[in-house]
Amino acid sequence: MIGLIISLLVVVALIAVLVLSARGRNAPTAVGSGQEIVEAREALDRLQTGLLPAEFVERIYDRADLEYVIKSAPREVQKQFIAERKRIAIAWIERVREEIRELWNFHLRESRRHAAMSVRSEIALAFDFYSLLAACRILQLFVRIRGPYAVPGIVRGTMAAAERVCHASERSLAVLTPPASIAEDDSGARAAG
Amino acid sequence: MEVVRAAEDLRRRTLSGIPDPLDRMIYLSSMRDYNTGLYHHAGLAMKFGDDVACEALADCHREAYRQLIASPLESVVAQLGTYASRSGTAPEEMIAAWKGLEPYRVAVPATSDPLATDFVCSNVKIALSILESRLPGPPRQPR
Repeated sequence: MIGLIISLLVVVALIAVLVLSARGRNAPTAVGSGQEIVEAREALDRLQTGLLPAEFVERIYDRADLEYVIKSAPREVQKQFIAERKRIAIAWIERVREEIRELWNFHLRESRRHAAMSVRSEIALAFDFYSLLAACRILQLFVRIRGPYAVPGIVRGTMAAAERVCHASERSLAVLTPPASIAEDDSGARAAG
Repeated sequence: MEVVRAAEDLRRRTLSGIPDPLDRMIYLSSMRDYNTGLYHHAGLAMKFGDDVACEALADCHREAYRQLIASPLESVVAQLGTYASRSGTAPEEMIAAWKGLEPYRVAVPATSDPLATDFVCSNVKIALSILESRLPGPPRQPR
């Protein structure tokens, strides 16, 4: 029963979001706003190279570290370790949510106007974005209550959904960004240090 | 291409003697000028030029940092222990100085993601606490 109510609420929320965002649709223009494209590309880069690489996420949530600390450190260090990992895990979830929201806002403001998307793709993408934001909230709640090692399945699910959203955003950005400016951005990003 | 060759040269001649990522990261950060953020290495610059040497050092610094991020906590503790024993300082002094000054915070590459840096620093902090708990001294609180 609760599951049914939640599903209905999700469907109603999605329809409301689509109706509201459709009202903001403008006539298509040739190019998106340069600044917004740059910001969306930066958000995507931060997700793909900073927050989502599997080796980084696995380290944050790796149970082997906990087992090592329990085996080899006194109780006060164990407490310090658990508090630190919890803090990092929550910060990671907040950063992922923040960047995903940035990409979603970009999609609503810009890319959807230019990329000819079918209603079905639009709904699928909206579902991915909102289910990801919801998964982040649920994960954050679990981590706060039960610590970072309680829900490995939700972590994996969140990462997979985030990767899908990143690929969708990558496609939108590829449509909007001329190849020359991508090359310029890449060479500019190669700074010392 | 020159940068790749310079980085290879650096790995072969210098970094091969510094196997641990933590040690490498600290060594490479010491090659960086804090006023400009640029890296200097006289031998490498003589062979490849200042700009190429700088890029190669930055690449190797980022590589060591990524390797440290990917290191399990047990390995970070071992790396820190090795670093302490190689530094020639008494372990309790080094641990006290590192806990107070947190020098590892400035040893990360400049373009690092803040959360990844926070994770590395958190791991080093825990590793310091673990090493400290192993020092001879008053009995520790039982587990």
